[in-house]
Amino acid sequence: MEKQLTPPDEPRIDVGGIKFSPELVQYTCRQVAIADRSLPIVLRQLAGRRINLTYFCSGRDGDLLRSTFCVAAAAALEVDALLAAVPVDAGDVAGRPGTERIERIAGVGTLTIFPHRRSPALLGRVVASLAEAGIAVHSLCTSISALSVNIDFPRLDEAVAILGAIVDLPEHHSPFRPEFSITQIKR
Amino acid sequence: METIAVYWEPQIRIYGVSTVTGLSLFTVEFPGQRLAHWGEMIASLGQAGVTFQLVTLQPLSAGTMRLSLLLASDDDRDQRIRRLLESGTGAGPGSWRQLAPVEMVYLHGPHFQDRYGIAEAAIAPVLAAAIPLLASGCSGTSIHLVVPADCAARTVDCLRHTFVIDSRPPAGPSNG
Repeated sequence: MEKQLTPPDEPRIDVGGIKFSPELVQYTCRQVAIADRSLPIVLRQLAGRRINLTYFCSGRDGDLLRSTFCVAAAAALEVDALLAAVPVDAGDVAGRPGTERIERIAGVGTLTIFPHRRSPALLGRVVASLAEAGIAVHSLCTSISALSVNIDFPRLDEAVAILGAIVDLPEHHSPFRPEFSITQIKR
Repeated sequence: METIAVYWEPQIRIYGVSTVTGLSLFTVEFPGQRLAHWGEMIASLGQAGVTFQLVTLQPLSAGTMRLSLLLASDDDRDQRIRRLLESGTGAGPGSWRQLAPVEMVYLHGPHFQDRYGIAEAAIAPVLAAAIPLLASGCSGTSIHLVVPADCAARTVDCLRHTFVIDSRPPAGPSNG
């Protein structure tokens, strides 16, 4: 039997809008030892090269940090080189290439849905609907009002079509794709 | 079309900073192919009237994922969520955990998502001060930093080097 994404007893959820990011690359960096100070080094070098992190989140594997961030696809080669060169300054892992602790996913796009109203209902149904449709969710994070979901960039339009079963968008919704970008040129 | 915004700030200006105490951080790790199941579990929390402060989902190794839910701590609610996590994981020991009480520092500011150096300004001082960063999320114009009990004030203090924070915000429990 075909699975129904929106059971009749679950009302559709009104949202204010959905936005797409430009194409991104997602990196997940794992701290390999307490003495591993590579994350602040990476963050400092990214800032020094004026590379914006459009998305960042972290959690802990026991006492060790795991951080996930996204950068514009155009900056990815520079970030790859930077990450490969960052030393892991922990005695027990000295000499291990930086790339061993990094997972990289290219061709990512952020689907931003707002507002979430701090309700797990919208968040949970978005995640379940995308996953049931076979759209890989690479990561997600909530802001004060928006839910940012990182999926495969080429599937952003398909994702919106799937979410159409659970959310109601305003009648005259603005385009999903960004019509302009904001670039900080100096700080 | 490109719009260029120029910022020149020795310290990053913000719209506001707040701290919330008395929170619970629930984390659960599961195989990525179980994501739809966990989405439904999260949705069921909404039906139970639970609201969240922060939710993150991160990839771990070998196709596993970690879901982190930061919620106002409440005995009845915590018990309900523990039951949900136990039922969702098949009560597998070590597959979920609860840290409580924890605290959150929240900042928001102009175009945080469009500006380089924001994550460094938020994360690096906390790590340098040896404050255990339990979880964090920087997306849109928001920065959420989750730290152990009694660490939020110290976290705000160390952020005063990188962000314009005139005074410590009052700390209090969430009403959500």
